[in-house]
Order: sequence, then structure tokens, then C-alpha cells
Amino acid sequence: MQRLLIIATLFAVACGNDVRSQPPSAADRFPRLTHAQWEATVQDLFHLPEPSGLPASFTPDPQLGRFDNNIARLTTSSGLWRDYQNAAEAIADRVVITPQLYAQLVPDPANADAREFITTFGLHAFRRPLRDAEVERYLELFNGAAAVFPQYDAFKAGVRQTIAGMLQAPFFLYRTELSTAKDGIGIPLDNYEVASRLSYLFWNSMPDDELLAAAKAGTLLDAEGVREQASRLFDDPRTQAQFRRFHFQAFKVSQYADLDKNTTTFPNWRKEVGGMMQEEAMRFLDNVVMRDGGVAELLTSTKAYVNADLAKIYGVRGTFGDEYQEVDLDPAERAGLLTRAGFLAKNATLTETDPIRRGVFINLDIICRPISAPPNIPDNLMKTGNTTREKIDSITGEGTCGEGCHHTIINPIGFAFENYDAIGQYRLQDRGYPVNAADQYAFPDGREISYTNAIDLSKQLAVSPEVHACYAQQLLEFMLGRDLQQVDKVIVRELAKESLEDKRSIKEIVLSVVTSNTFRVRAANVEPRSQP
Amino acid sequence: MINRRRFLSGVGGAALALPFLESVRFGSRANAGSPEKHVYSFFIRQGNGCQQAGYNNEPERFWPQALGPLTTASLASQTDRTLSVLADHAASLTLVRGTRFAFPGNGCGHSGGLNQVLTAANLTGEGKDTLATGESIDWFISRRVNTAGMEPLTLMAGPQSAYIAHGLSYSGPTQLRGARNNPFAVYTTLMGLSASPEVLQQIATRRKSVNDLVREEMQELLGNPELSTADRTRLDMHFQAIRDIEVGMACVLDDAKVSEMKAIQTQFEGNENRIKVAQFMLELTALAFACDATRTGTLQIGEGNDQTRYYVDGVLQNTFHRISHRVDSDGSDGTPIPNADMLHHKIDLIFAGMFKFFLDKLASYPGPSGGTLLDDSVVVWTNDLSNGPPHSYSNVPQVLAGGAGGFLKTGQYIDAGNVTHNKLLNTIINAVGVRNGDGSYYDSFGDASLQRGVITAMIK
Repeated sequence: MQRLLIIATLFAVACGNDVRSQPPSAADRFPRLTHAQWEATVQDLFHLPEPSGLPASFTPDPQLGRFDNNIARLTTSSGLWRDYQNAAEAIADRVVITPQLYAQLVPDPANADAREFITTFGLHAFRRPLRDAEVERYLELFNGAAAVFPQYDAFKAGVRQTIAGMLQAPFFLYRTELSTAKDGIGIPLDNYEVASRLSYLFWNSMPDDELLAAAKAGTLLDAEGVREQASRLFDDPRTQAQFRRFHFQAFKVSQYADLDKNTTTFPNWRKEVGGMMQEEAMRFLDNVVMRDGGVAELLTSTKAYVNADLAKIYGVRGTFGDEYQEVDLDPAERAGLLTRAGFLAKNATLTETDPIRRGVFINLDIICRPISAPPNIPDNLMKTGNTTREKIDSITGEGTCGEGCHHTIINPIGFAFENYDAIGQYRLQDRGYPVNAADQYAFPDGREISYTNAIDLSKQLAVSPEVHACYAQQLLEFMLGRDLQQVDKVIVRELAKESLEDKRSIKEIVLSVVTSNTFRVRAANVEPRSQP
Repeated sequence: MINRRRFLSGVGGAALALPFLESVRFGSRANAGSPEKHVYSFFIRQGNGCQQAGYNNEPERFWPQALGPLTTASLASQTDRTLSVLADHAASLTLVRGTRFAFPGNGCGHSGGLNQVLTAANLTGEGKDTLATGESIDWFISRRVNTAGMEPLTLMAGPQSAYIAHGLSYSGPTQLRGARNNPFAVYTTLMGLSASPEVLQQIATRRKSVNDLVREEMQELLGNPELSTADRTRLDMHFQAIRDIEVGMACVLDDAKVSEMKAIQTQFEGNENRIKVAQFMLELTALAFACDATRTGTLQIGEGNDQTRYYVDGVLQNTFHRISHRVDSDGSDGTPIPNADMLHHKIDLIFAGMFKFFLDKLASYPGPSGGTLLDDSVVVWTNDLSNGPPHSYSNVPQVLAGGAGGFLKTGQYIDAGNVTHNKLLNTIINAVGVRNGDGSYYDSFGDASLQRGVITAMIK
């Protein structure tokens, strides 16, 4: 049965025009574990009841690229090497002096065998079986340990030193992809390399035993085998945290928590509300993904998770406490993430809306339309008009020096959200004058849309190819842990098509990626191509 | 993070430790000449400019009233000026007006300034994602005055992730470094081991056998013929980082101070702890210098466009960035903030207070030349902009303290004459003891297009 499936899949790959047939892109092969991955991996490797806490003091990675797993960030300075050394020793010490932890690694001390320990532990630490020469190398380290650890018996000393060594080894600290056998389109990753890609993608941690068993059985070389494991991993509760991590960074949700608003203007505001807006946004995003929703739902769903404070801001009637309850918001007032309090309040000042910021964010992060950096802004611009929209128009609209970017690209998007004040409450008036949220916007390819307000705009964005491509692009960047290259544009286009035309869920899009050549095969050429 | 080697016993709450393994080596990788003494250098960055004359008829509230010699009495009497806060240290100060950044920002003044301030390098990329095309002075100095494997301290008081996060320290072109922002974590890396010589020897042996094994593995990987340049560079950096040194140095603060650092372990990024974290970092820097754990470093206070909400006269204010724009907006347009120029000045006073705190700490430790550690240091309080709304790159505030072991002519306020600030950085590089191969002043830090030279008026 399984064999038939494989044949069917291969046939589909050969004939289909789906994403799996696209060529892989050249990419760097040795991403270092992020600090979060180090933490999760160590916890899984030793079955620690809690995270070790050690990475909190690691030398931090610089903010390069969009996501924290971008390979450009993941270098090892002498400071970080030192942190790794200290942490490896701290964990190794803890394991050998904690009976429960030690017993998991050495269940039968009386009959323990060094070679067997190294082979078994090494498989998990390196996420692949050790080569014979490696076993010999670690045996030497193991056997030399007794002399420098007089406080332990010889076996324990060997275990201590082996753990410290393996946790400092490049095969632990990096996800090494060493396969070199070329086939037609590139170099397929081997079973264990695919297993690691999958586990770090979904769980930000090492493969579990089932995934290692699948690798050993050799079922991760074909798309169907990968899909089967990927589906299993996706359905594990740990995956939700990973998508949270993605959305948190993609939609810049972290910035919601530290907001400040004028409490005289906004009696519904208190300092804690920013954090609640963040939590609400994350719950919203989690639920779209976990309930098999797609990109369109992100922009149109009226599901919300509100507590007493947020219920007031959304004008939801009912009894609410500190807990977040699922509610349906008024579809005439809210549609998707962009009409949620967090986004609206983040892109606003203490008292007023900030249509420019709202417009810039949506262009950059929802449509993926680059906007050139602003020129030096002249001082003392004279604003006129009654509403925020009129004032901004008077200095950046038609006939001003801001016309090029603001009047046609930024403002029309930002103005659509004028129905929401600086903490995201719905409003029909601005300073006593009626809100005008209608506008029109031209996409880079010239296609124009007009809309009456943010609900209308969100619904139109939800069926725009640019928006689906933008989401796919960011998702792929996160899944691959690197900036995209020219060749990746093909798969982005295909994924966007699946998302828009086939209405595939985010889960299905993720599965499309993991079964693609982009994920499972690396290019045979040595140098990555230039950026798009 | 840090190599510990030498120790000054019984000072400033530090305790004894054992000198071990390696000996001092200066400038082992230097292409300029080698320094002959230890001079410690440190660079503190304030963001958003300072409140000084030059914008919209705002009065001068930063610099002293007159160029020339500085005395404690004269500086203390100018209470309307920010720098009067430093009056106690007048004899150690070198105040330099008239330096400017050479390269225009690419659409974001903050990012453009932040990336130039310690690199004097041209910029690449746009807006908030601008990067510097050269290494920063702390890394330049570190490679020449630190022993092998000793890195500069790269510190920050503020959030790790932000619109513009850390952007001060570059180990090479576009090689932005991550900054440590958790004081307790910094302390734990400074703190060494204390044990008997036998035990220290065992530790060194254990580590060496692991290092040897890891080196072998790294070499195998590096031997792979199909590595991309980026992979090779990344692995090689790791390979070079592996060292067999560093056992048995202790840099210790008193328990109460350590508990305070530990107490904010989970809130060190928070607004409320911004100044506290900055002060902890400065205290740790002084300790690190006193222990000779490193000889240079940087501290960025606040994000790229410092969004901290400082307390002025006990009242929590709008974000510093908005105050620096004088309006309730992160752009040029918004409701005016009342008395914003005075608020900006008062925030400058907070920074002056933090700098004084640092100078006090340095002056409390003895230095290698027999005076105080401050005498053997050159520490800089700088800015990535010169003033508020115009975000100008001219007349950037450059406040230096410490005599650099007698190299700098301290106790004066000078005008450098609108020169590019690479000349100031060149002067500092000479102050820590680096020279050209022929013994002449080192004069070529930063972008190759810049006019070379030092600021001779700063030199004794």
C-alpha cells in the first residue's frame, strides 16, 4: 500500500505543475541553533522537567533579517563559544549528579558499556547515527575522563565528559547538512537531515523517537513520507508555539505590549491593556492556523478572544472577567487582524490615529510592497483641515512633496482605518466631524481597488494575490530560516496561488512547502545566488 | 564572553584569584604597531541628540559657556549647562565640539547615525535597516589591545528587539554584533572560578581534551570542498573562537549588588529599569576593567531611536524620541509637546548623571600606572545625532573623560573645527596606544574616502 502511494506521488511530482517540481535554491548548509532551539533541544535531549534557563545569559544574536532564525544572525563569537562551553559543562554536571536524569541515560550502571552509551546518546545529540570514527573519538574522550574527574566513578566521569563534548560539537550546535549525492535537480537531503528540518520547523527542537525511527526506516526521502510525518508533527500541541513565534515576528505583535495612551482621552485604557491586546492577537492567529484557516481568514474572521478590558474596547456586551472568551465581533465593525485593537493602537499616538503608520505597515508587511525611505522632512509643515485625514492630506496629499509615496500608496490604506481611534475603538466621528474611510488604491501591477472602509478593504485584501504572496513569502522565509532568493519566487507564486485560488489552509501551505524541493533538496551549486 | 587573566587584589569589592596559563600578548594580530601599556576605552551612546543651540532659537543648554580650560569651580557654576554635572571630574575631561558624521543617513537619521558613530564607515541598506560597511572602534581596538579570545564588552540598556534595536558594535563590515542587556548574565560571565591549583589544572585539561576533539570536527567540516563562502566564514569564526585559556580569574561584586541585578532578571528590558540597567552595566564595565577581563567595550542606552520614557522631576514623560521631535509623534508632524526642549535638556542631565556615575566608579579603582583607573582610561559619552528635530550630524556631542595614561590633554573644552569624526576616533585609537607601523600616529580608521588625521588639540 505504502509503495503504491509512493509511486502515485512520484507520478504526481513528475507530471504536476505543483510546487514540488520546482528546483531548489542554493543555500547555506549549517544554520546554528538559535538560543531558543538550544534550550528546547537540551530540554528534550535530557528530558528536563523545565527549560534549563541557561540561554538567558548567552551572548544575544543581532537583529539581522526579519526572523530570529535567519541564518545571517547565527554566528559564533568567542563570547558565545564561551557561553556554550559553560552551558555544556553545567548541563553535564547536572545530569551526572541528578539520579533521575542520570538513570535515563544509564539505566543499568552495573552493566553499562561506554560504546553503547556513546552510540545511543550520540544518535540523539547529533540527530543522526555516529560514524565509526566518531564513536572511537568519543570513546577516547570518555576513557580519558576518569583522570580529570576524581570526584566521580570512571563511568560517570566518562558520561560527564562525553555530554560536555557533544554539546560543544558542531554536529550538536549546527544543523549540519552533509549529504553530497547529486540527482537531477540537486542534492536531496538524507533522511536524518530531513527529520531535523521537520522537527526544528514545527517544534523548534530535535526530532523525537518516532521521527528518528522514520529516518532510520528511510521513509523521509519521498514527499509522501515527509507529508505523513509533517502532518503528525503539525498536530502536536508544540507546533502552535512555533506558529505563534512566526506570527509574533511577522506581524510585529511584540510591539503591542508596551503601548501608552492618554487615560483622559481614553478611560478604557490602562497600562495592562497593551499586553492583553497582544495576547488577543496571538490567540486569534493561533486559532486561524489550528482550525485549518487560511490567509483570507486572517483578514476577515470576526472571531475574537476578549476579557473585560477588551470587551469594553470592542463594545461587546456581556459579562467578562480576566479570562479570554471567544466571541464574534460585529461584522459591520470588524474583519480580521487589521481591525483589531492591537494593530490599531500600536499604529497611533497617545491620543490620535496614525494613518501613515497603519498604511506603511500594511504596504510593507501585508502586501510586501517596498516603500523607499522618506526624504528629509521639511520642518514647520502647516497642517490645515478638521479631521486627522484632512490634516495629513494637507501636508502629504496631492500637490505636496509627499504626493509620490503618501497620496497614492500609504495614505489611501491608512485612511481606511479612520473608523478606529488610537486604542482601536470603533468611531463614526473624528473631532466631531464625520469619518471618511473611503479611498482607492492601486497595486504595483496597476490593478485598482476602491473601498468604503476598513471592512471593505480587508475583504478585498483577502482576495488579492499580492497579499497571499506576501504571506507565503514570509512563511517561507521563516520555514527556511534565510532570506529568499530569486529562484524562490517560483514557489512563492505557486503557494500564493494555492492559498488564493484553491483556498488552501495555512496548514496545507506548510505541508506544500515541506514536500517541495525547496525544503527537501539543496542546490548543487556552491555559492548562493544573489538576492532578488 | 570574557577572558579573565590578571587581577588587582583587594579593590572595589573584588576578590583574589589565581593567575593562570597564558601571558600577556599585545597586538598579536595588529597591522598597526603594538601598544606598550594598558589603556581602557569605553563608548556610551545616547540617542536622539542633545538639547543644544542651533534649532529654532532654543537656547544653549549643553556645552560650557566658553572654550578653553575647565576647572571644577568654573564648570560647577554653569548650572544651566548639562555638562556642569561633570564638574567634579573637570580635570579629566576633554570636551570636543565641532565634529560631524561624514555620510548622510539613508532615510533614517537614527539608523544612519547609530551605524556611523563608532565606525566612521559608509552605510549600506535603507531606512531602519541600514548597516555599517566597516568595523567599529571597539573591535578595532580589541583586536590590538586585548589578548587573544578577549572580546569587547557589547552592552545595551534596552530591548533586544525593536524598530531599530542594537546597532553600535560591528566586528566587521555589516557584521553587527548582538548586545548583552541582562546585567546579571554579564556578571556571571565576568565571575570566574575559585579553586585550588590542582583543580584548576584538571579543569584546564578536561577543557583542552574537549576543545581538541571539537577542533578536529570543525576541521573536518571546514575541509568540505562544497562549502559556500558564508558557511566557511561562519564555521571558521567558530573555529577561531575555541581557546584553551581562561581558567581561574575572579571578578566579584558584593552580594547585595549581585542580588539587585538578579532581582531584575526578568524585567531588564522594561522601561522602568532602563537607567538601573545602564548603571549596572557601567558598574560591571568598571569591574571588568579593574580585573583586566577586557579593555574596551560599548554601551547603547535605549533603542536606535531611544523610545524610553524617562522620569523628569518625578513625572513619567512621553517617549524620549517624541520629546526629541518636540511633538507627540514619531515623525515631524504632531501635537506639540509643551516644554519639550526643556524636557530634552533634563533627559540630557540624566545621561550626564549616568556618565558621572561611571567616572566615579572608574576613579574608585586603582589603575595600572599607579593613579586611578580613570587616569588609565579614555571613556566617551557620544550620540548618534547632534540635536533634536533637525536630526543633524554636525557638532555631535563628544564628551571624553580620562587621560589615557597621560596621552590626552584633559581639562579643556575645544572646537575641532567641523571635522569628520573619524579624526576623533583616530585620536582615541592613538590614546589606547596603537600607532602606525612606522611609529607615527594612527590616522586611517573608518571609510577610506575620509580625510586622515587626528585632532592634535586633544593630545598632550
